[in-house]
Amino acid sequence: MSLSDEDVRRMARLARLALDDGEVTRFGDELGRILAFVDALRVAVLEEAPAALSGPWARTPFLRDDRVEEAGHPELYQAQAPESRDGYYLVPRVIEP
Amino acid sequence: MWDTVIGLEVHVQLLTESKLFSPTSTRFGAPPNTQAGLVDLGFPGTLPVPNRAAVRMAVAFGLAVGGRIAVRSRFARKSYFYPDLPKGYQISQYDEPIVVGGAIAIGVGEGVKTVPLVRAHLEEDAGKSLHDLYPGRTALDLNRAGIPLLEIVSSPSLASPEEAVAYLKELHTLVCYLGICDGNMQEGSLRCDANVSLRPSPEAPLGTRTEIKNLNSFRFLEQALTYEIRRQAEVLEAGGTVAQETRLYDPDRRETRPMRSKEEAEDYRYFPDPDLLPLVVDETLRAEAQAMLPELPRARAERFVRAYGLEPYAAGVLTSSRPLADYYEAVASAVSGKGKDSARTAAHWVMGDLLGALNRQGIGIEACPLAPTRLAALVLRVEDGTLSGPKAKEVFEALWAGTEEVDALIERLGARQINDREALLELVDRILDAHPRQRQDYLAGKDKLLGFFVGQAVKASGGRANPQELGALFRERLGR
Repeated sequence: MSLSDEDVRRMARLARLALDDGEVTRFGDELGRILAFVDALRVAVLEEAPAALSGPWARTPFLRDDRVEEAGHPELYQAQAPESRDGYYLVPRVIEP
Repeated sequence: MWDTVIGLEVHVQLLTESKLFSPTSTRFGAPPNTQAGLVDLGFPGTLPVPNRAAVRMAVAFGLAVGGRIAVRSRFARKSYFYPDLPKGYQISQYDEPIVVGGAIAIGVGEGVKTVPLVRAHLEEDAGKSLHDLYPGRTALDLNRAGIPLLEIVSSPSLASPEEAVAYLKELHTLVCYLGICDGNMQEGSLRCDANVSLRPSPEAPLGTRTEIKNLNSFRFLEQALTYEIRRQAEVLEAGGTVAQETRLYDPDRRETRPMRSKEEAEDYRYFPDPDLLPLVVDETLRAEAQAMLPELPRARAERFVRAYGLEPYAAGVLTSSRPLADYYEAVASAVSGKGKDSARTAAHWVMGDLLGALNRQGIGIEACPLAPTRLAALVLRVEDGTLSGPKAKEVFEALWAGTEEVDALIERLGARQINDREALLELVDRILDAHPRQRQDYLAGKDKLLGFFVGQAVKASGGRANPQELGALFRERLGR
């Protein structure tokens, strides 16, 4: 299975990555090899097997009771943010006001 | 003329204490980011754990609208590249929602129309972005990130802005009744996106639709749809085609404007969230949801018509919120059986003077200072003829303002209606003597003057004389 340059550019755009032409070729090649590797799974017989992502759902999943048990600690968390002010996290402006 | 097709997606903020996947508070109006915890901020290594109450509320909604409750549903990640959800995705439900189908009945003109629902699913809300606080920066308040939402998707079967508003109102009443939403639209507890398209006839295939985002009031919904329908009609009539796009409504200019084109369709890359097991609604949870269901508004309105003899309109008003219906029912049950119209008189007082007084003071029925039993006492005095209309209003004002009981107020204000025949006859004669010309005119055929005589007599009695009795006595005295 191979990927076209267009596939690679589309994935890059979705991942918000800027690739130059050389990188498009390089990643196309690398991704193509990963897909070829994964392609080996196609020989597996899956009809009888449970869906992989459904997990061990034979047991009822845990649901939390509706209680507030964690306070926000803005000063602690914001110490780790690149930029914050007056309690707000600041990021590059995403749209024009 | 065009056939209009509207579908609504409504986001209902569920009334939980804590968030959908984290134990931080959902309280409105806290200082920025004081209610954003580790899971909400998308810290590495944290894991979401679903809130049982939010799931129960979604199930209760599904039961109330007669939808199918999925025993097993699934959370999915919706890729999303805005900083108001720091994880880089929103946890939502995609191919396996918790509620499928169901319907909501809305009043249309004199009739009832059933609006089928497509689905309702659970998802987390995003934080709030403020773009104009700091130059060149977007400020983030993530308190809202992770608050549970129930997204309710109607089928495209609403035919006009009026029907869309009726549907949204019905949905608003329902979620408030169920106690799963506070219904506060100013605070964004109920938000609506509208899909609208036109086609030449009801048989034609659906036209290209536009989506109008974030309509947070009934009025804006109606205005935005009215504008958008006219805009699309103009495009089509000029031979153009409607572009599939998302639009925003600008209430100041009363128009919709394109927000982003759907040609560059968002690719959300949904996939099952590997951090979360499938959601299982077992018998226990379903029974808990069932136990939450109150008598629903439409059923309650119908019962009010049957049991209390109300007009459908009055029953609709009185069941428009659960606290109001509870209040009315408390008054009605205290007076019913005492007087033939007592439950209807009660409805008249609750809808008229009581709601008027509440409005004047800007308080809701939940905080009504006048206990239903005290209003019931007033209704009984109207019913048994102790109070006339104007005097009852006077007593109501005093009752509202103070703590005195009705009978004591009637004595203190001298408000007791005069029903005594002798006393009334004396009054009748006095009025006739004072107005000989009008008496002549009445006898000559000017029937309308009866109202004048009654009015004069009521006035002379300080509003206490019984007007019905007076009318009869005037006719008796005048011989016609």
